[in-house]
Amino acid sequence: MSLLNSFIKQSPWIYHVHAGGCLGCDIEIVALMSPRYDLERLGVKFVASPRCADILLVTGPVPLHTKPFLERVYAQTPEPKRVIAVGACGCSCGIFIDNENYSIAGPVEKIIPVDVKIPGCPPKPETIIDGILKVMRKFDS
Amino acid sequence: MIDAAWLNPVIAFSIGILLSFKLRKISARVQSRRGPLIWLPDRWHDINRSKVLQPLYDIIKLFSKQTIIPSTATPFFIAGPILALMCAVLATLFVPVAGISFDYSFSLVVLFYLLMGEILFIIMGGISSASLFSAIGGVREIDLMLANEIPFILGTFALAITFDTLSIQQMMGFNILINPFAALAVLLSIIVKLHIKPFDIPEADTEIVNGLTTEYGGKLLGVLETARIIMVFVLIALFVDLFLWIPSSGALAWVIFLAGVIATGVLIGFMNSLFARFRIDQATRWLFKIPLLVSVLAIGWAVLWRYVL
Ligand code: SF4
Repeated sequence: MSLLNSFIKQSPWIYHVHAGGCLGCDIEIVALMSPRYDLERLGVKFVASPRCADILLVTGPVPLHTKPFLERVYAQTPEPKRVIAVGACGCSCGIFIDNENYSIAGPVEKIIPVDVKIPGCPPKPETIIDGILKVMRKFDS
Repeated sequence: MIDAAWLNPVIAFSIGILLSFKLRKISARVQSRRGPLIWLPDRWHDINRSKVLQPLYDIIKLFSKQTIIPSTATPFFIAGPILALMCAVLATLFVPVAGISFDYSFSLVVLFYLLMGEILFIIMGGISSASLFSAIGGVREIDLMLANEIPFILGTFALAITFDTLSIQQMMGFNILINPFAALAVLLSIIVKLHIKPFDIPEADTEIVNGLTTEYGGKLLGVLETARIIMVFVLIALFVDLFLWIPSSGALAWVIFLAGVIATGVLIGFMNSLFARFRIDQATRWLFKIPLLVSVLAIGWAVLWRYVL
């Protein structure tokens, strides 16, 4: 099994889940495929359907009405899979954290298991690349 | 003695992988990115050393993943990709690789039906998943196929008229000089069949997720990817055989064949990265206008040379 997992490390396909953030993180994620940071060097591909994905990149604090969709996307991703929570929102709800906030179900960790958290509001593309590399290496264990 | 043509599927798969890598690399370089690296720097050596075989890694990875089958899917969902792969593998047996293939006096017709069958089985599998995105992708694919099959068949039959045969081996040659219109018509329809931009409408991932393959994941997607990679090789090799081949044998044949494949591959790669996507109505209208006209010209040209002059 570990041999096969090492092939996932060589071609991780990423599905980007937007779960109610402010789009700040999402713009930084788009920058990952730009000429400057180009993640395709490592064989990473951004796919349009969770059914082909190996890694879920979740941004945002997960509002109540997005929660069922996030669960469904997680269930639709075939095993073995890993989840990255991006941004302060993904890690801990960020600026949306408040005891009186009635509309937030998150952070992501409460809903689906998270393997790597990338802090920052928004995190720099370099940081996101570092997080993706960490999760790629995690496929070994 | 075993016929050397049985090796064709293996050759098709390996050259197809390198061609797909080349397509990705070209589109990355045109966008001034680097694409999959040929040599990775030291600090990433624990991930991989070279990404030249990236499409192969993708396929092996897909085969090592869990396959999810939607509850709404019919058995055709599983049968579709497998039948499509069988069609693609059978098609490689009839396309001469450096002059080696099974050849009958009617092999061109067999090849037509295998190429068409591959697309039809993918449509069948995709539509039976009962996903709306797949349905839209399927409709678009059928639209394109209807508009595209005519120039393809007319273009290749123009050669059949010139050489008075339906065997691929006997019409091979540097026919781009004999019938340039046929070459243009076949090249355009190859681009449509491979979903090269501007004709990647059926799998437009920004509009309809992945089109026909939306519901596929894991091993079934691996089968589809394999079929796609073989198709890339089959269609490019068919173009090289029909239009860019110089009769030769042995090592020289391989040199000429590979040079032709690389040249056509690079041409298609640049087309893929230089154009934007057509809308489906624009694409069908364009296909009914220009390639159809070119292919009718090709037939006229062939008839003119054969019977009049
Ligand atoms: S972490 Fe900051 S930038 Fe990212 S979604 Fe939340 S508020 Fe926006």
